[in-house]
Amino acid sequence: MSDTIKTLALADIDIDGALRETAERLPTRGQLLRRGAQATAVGVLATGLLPGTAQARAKHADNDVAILNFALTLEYLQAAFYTQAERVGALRGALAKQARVVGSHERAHVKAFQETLGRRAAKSPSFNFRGTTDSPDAFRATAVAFEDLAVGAYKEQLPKIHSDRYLAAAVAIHSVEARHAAWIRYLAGIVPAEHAFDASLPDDETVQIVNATHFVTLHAPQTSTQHAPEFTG
Amino acid sequence: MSTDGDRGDVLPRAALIKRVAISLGGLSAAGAAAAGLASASRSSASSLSSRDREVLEFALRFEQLQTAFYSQALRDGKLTGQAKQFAKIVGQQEQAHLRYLERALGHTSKAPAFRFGDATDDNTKFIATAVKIEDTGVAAYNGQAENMSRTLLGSIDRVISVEARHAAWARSLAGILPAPVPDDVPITASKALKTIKPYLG
Repeated sequence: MSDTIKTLALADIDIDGALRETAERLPTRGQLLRRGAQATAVGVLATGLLPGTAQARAKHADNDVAILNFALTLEYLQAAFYTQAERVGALRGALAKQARVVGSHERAHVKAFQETLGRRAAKSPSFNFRGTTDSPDAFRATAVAFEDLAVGAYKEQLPKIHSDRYLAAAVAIHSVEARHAAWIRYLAGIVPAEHAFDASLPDDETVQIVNATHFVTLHAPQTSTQHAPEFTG
Repeated sequence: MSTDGDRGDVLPRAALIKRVAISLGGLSAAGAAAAGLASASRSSASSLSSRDREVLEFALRFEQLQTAFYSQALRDGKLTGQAKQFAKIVGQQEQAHLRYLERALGHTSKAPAFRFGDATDDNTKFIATAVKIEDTGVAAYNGQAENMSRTLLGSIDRVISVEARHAAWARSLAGILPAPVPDDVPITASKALKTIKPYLG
């Protein structure tokens, strides 16, 4: 991952994050393995165990909802960031265009996840971007960090999604996040594709990085930017 | 966002029927479950399902095409500046993807002869072709996501997002939107192969 992300992760950790709440509902690797074993057993014992099958299906569905809500919360964060950058209006030229187009994508991702999840969709936390939307330099560095983060975070979740329908949606979004990452890196003058293989980012690290930014606030954010009110989703 | 109707496309009908027959036969065998668990715990190439193997072979074809394109562009030596840097870095990464897929399949591969016409003659033509093969690569990989096992997806998705970065990078150099839509539209294997057909010698 980029140096920018490492820099952000160095800040002290805010344990208040809404992202952490959604992350805690994610299945751990151990749980997934156990569920995998159960599912196999159900398959082997075949038709006699229908209630067991239904139970396994319900668990898969719960896991999928947790994963989608985790992704939704990341999308809330990104959508709010670009929306605020656009409102503040400190960006010009190619950077302004990037914020406008990518912002529209992130808002579309939020909408797609909300529609898929229906009543089970997580609510948007409040955000305070602490001045990072106020100048082109701060915006650029933060956007690089966010987009690389999203690529790694999605990568971690994709193979854990059980439903093919959800997977198709997440895969299509995942590669767009990678395009966003390459785009902003290009505008920042750094190599858009730094490595032959993108690493996945474990949930706890994703949460840690986001919390280190202090962008996610539990309560209504205070106004710290000079130009515009905070976006609250 | 749905790929309904795209599934199974990677397998020709005959292979599909054979595979279904094999798996049905497997279900009736008493030891099938134990054997299945054992093979799932191994990660060697021999434990690949036939479906995963076909997805990998399909992906291999794309990586061969991309690798060949960038190495020819560099050999021809007509690129300059950012286009040249792109060819160099992306070419190396495609090569790494190719080796990665070969390792997963447990065999080396010999690329077919590709013809790129005048696509490597100058920066503009080169970038236009790079956009085409990278965008097609992303769509083709995405189209296979549901066809492969989640285990394979866990490995391959490390490659997919890099392909998407390449596509966005090439588009940046071409002066067009790096991410034109909110979600990348997947394509079927047959459509992907049709797109790259002009390059097959």
